[in-house]
Amino acid sequence: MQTQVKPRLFIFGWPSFVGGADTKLAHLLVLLHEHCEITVIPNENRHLRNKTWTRFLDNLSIKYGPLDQLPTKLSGFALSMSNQCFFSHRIAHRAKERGLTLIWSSEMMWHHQGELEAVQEGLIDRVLYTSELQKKVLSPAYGNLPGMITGNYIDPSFFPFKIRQNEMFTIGRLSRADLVKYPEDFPVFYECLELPEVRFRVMAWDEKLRQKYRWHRFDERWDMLKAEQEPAVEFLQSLDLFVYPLGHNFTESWGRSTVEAMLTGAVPLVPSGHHLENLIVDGETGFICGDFLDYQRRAQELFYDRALCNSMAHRCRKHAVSKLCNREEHLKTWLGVFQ
Amino acid sequence: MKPRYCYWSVVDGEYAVMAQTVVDSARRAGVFRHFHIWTDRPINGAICHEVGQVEKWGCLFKLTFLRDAVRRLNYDYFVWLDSDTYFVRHPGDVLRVLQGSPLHIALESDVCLPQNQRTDWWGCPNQQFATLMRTKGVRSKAIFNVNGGLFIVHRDAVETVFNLAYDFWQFCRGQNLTFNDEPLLAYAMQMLCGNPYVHTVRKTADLWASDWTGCFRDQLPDGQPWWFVDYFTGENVPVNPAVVHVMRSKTALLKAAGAAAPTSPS
Repeated sequence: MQTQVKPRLFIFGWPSFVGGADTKLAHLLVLLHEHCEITVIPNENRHLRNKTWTRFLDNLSIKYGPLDQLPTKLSGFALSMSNQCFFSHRIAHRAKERGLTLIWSSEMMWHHQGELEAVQEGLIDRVLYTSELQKKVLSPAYGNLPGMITGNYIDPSFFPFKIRQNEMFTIGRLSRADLVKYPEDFPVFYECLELPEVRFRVMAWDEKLRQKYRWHRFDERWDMLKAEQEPAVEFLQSLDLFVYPLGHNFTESWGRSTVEAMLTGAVPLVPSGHHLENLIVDGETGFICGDFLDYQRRAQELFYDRALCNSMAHRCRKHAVSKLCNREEHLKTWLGVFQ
Repeated sequence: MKPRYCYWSVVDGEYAVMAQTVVDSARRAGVFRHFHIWTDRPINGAICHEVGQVEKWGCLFKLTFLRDAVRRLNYDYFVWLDSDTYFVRHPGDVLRVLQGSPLHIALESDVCLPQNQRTDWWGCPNQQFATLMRTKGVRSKAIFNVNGGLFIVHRDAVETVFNLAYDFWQFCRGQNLTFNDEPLLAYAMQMLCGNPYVHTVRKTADLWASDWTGCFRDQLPDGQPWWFVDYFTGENVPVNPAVVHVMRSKTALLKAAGAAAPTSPS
């Protein structure tokens, strides 16, 4: 009987629970560790001293180490996702010199600095997309490079469902602390939903965001948390609704935090015009909203009808587990990348 | 602590004369807030600042004064008034219309309504204007026009308002449309206000409305109800605001200040 050879995969980056791409990497390692021979190479050696993540990798029997300690000739695949240093620190060049097949995933709706130059130089062999929406925007500049849509895998066990028993109805959002992710009217938008007895929770909030919205008086209803002030799962489990209006210069290429929220049972209210539309069955597992009044009406419906909110929360979890985070389907897709 | 606000304006020539009537009417109505006026002559009851040369095209100076001079004043909010304004009674707390928004300008008419009779705003077809607004991020079904006669802005939002307005101005200029202050303020407002539907003139006309059709032509309002006419549909809406933008009463404003009528109405 012939033993199937596992693809050799060198991943350039480092997992984290902050930011979509690094979180995606953490979950991807869980998905692939039994099916690929993986080595993780951080941009900087300081990451190798982070016991949380070295233990995480050890538990998955995944190797890790600096690039300069790897042999000068390698075979297999180099994968990097939304890692600016891959180009700016010429890591891509060094990986290519070692003989690796380079796979790049921007994860964003824009090209990273140096990315297209690397494509022009012939360094990149394949590109990955998170969604059709992202592909439509990015693929023209990639020319004839082979590309695949791999989506975004989230291991459901990281985000267990929790029945909500909040003393006060709670809405909120989790995203990286990036100004473009927030609409200009963010705090007044939440308050205009006119939910009585409500709590607003936001993570990850930072000084830049505080400055942007310094015209607003955040009263006792608001709970602004710094990045990682709470574990993401606990934060999401604290929300009844995940209300996610976005900045006008930003397009969500996938929407990881929305699906994480759904897994925990937070009902999402999200804007149209993003990949989010493909993650939610409108009216079944959340709501896709255009006008402000759509958000207000849906939020109030769910506030006043807790049975509806609870049943929708269960449907969110079920949909996320069975459709969006289906392990076998994601595995099949990813192993196809390394064919 | 209650937020502090002042009224402000920029005037010269006959508009400075009219501004005297504005301040006088406010004082008669019991309004004792500060009026900061950039002017070429003294205005009794106002805190006057030297106006210098002003480029008046499109009233864009409202935005540049706001950014460069007004926001240095020590108030939380600034209430712009056109100089053809008249207080018929005390408006109460004008900040009530903000509803948490850092900017308020009354949203007048929905350019998207099928029953609209007027087909353009400042030379831009309604549908195109709606498309411009949506392309730049306005998400509401209704796309409103505004009148620039009164707007309120939080000091800490001045830069954001200016940047949004300027960005929209540049974007539209790229489409061969050079807008004055009103479409720019309409855009900034609909980006910043949370729920636009609580900022409509129909919801806030106890504070301010514009008599653009001339109900009070060449007269000053007397505190009685009057008809505001929807700019696009022509619908008559009964209003009785404390502060009236008496666009068609410039002669009366000048007369009230003891001066001659303007030779070239704006």
